Amino acid sequence: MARRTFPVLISLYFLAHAGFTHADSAPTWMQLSIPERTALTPIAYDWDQLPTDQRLKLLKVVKEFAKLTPTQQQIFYARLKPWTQMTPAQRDAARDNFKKLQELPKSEQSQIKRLWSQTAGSDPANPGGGQ
Amino acid sequence: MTKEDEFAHRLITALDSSVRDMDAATLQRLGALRRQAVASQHSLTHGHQILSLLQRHSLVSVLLALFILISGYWFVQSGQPAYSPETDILLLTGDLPPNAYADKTFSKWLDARSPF
Amino acid sequence: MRHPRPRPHVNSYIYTAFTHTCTVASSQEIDAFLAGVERRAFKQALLTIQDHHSALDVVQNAMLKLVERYHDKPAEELAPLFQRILQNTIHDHFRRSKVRDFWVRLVSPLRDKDDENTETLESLAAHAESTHQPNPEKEASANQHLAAIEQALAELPQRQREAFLLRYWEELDVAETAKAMGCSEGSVKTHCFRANNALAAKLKDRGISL
Repeated sequence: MARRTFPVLISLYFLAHAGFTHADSAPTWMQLSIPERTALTPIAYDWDQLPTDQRLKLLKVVKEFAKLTPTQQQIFYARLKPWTQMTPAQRDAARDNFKKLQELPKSEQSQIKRLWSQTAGSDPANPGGGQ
Repeated sequence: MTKEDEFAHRLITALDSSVRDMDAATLQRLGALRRQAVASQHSLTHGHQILSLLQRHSLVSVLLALFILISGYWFVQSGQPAYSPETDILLLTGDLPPNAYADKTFSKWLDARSPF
Repeated sequence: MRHPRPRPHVNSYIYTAFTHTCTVASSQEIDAFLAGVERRAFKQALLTIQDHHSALDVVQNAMLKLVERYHDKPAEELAPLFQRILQNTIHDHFRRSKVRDFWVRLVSPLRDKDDENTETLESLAAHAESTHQPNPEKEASANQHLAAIEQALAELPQRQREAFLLRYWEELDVAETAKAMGCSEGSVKTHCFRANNALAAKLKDRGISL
């Protein structure tokens, strides 16, 4: 029995591979293109340790990096590492709340943003609000 | 050693003495946290024991594996929206940093304001 | 050396590739390492966060993360890895508490702009639960020099304090410090240089010479 189950398990494993839309692996840092590495510079040292699905999501995000203005790119750089250090639940909460904020009246949205820049976000060396 | 290094080392010596004289309650607490952390390592290695258990009961393992793979495949295909990076780009370049949005107080406030 | 730890003579990645299967850190080695570093880790956290309870939380998280992520690394890699985790955990906490203060003030109907020490309901409950009521660190240190040193360190910008403590207290080399802080080696040297000057100036102002 044991002799036959091992090849069965192996073939099931490869079947599952074919079936799942996400591959079980994401590129390592050495496998990234130069534009990708440029966008992900702040997390160069951490990249290989990040979970697969997080890396795949980030690679979709960095496709937009070249379209950002230089100022936006600097903000992106400041926020990237803290973003990867949040838990998946925290990131999902951030996405949810971001969308909910867009649904509030415009005047409230600008008030919140103004208050943020006057208080907690007021460190000029810290545009990302991170370290 | 440069003069800066000498100054730094004298400063560090004073810090060392503060650490030696730390209060007993804190030291005890730190020790407890350390033992907790080291103990958590055992639950990581126990995962390997489960694997060898499965290898011994091969028919059950095959059926279990089949069930997990098929139901997992079905679950993934059946309703997960494809990930869209647009929101993330806005979060990473917008006026507020992402960790501000993640805050629980903010979540509660938004929920309270929702018309639904 | 004040805090002796084994150091590989070659690049640690190459070392790991050749010796990984043979030199995974044992439970005893991890325990010994943490026992050696836990007090300094607590002190580092306290200097930034200035709260006893939260500093303990940070140390706990850092220890758990080290075991969770790196229990299969060789013992000599634990120190720089732990420092990186510790710095990140301190940052996370610090950022989260700043953010929490912002939202609490925003959503509270009784917004008190002068109250710098607004606490959330959660942190108040946590304090009430805690059976340990420590004296403020400054009162506990009988040594005036020490109090001034800790004050001076706490007043430094975060990155300067980090670079200084990692280089001089944890005795990481420049490359290890750069990895722990997530910055370049040049930045590490700049932060250290500025920290040294700032500390010397602050202590001189208080009439303290070491």
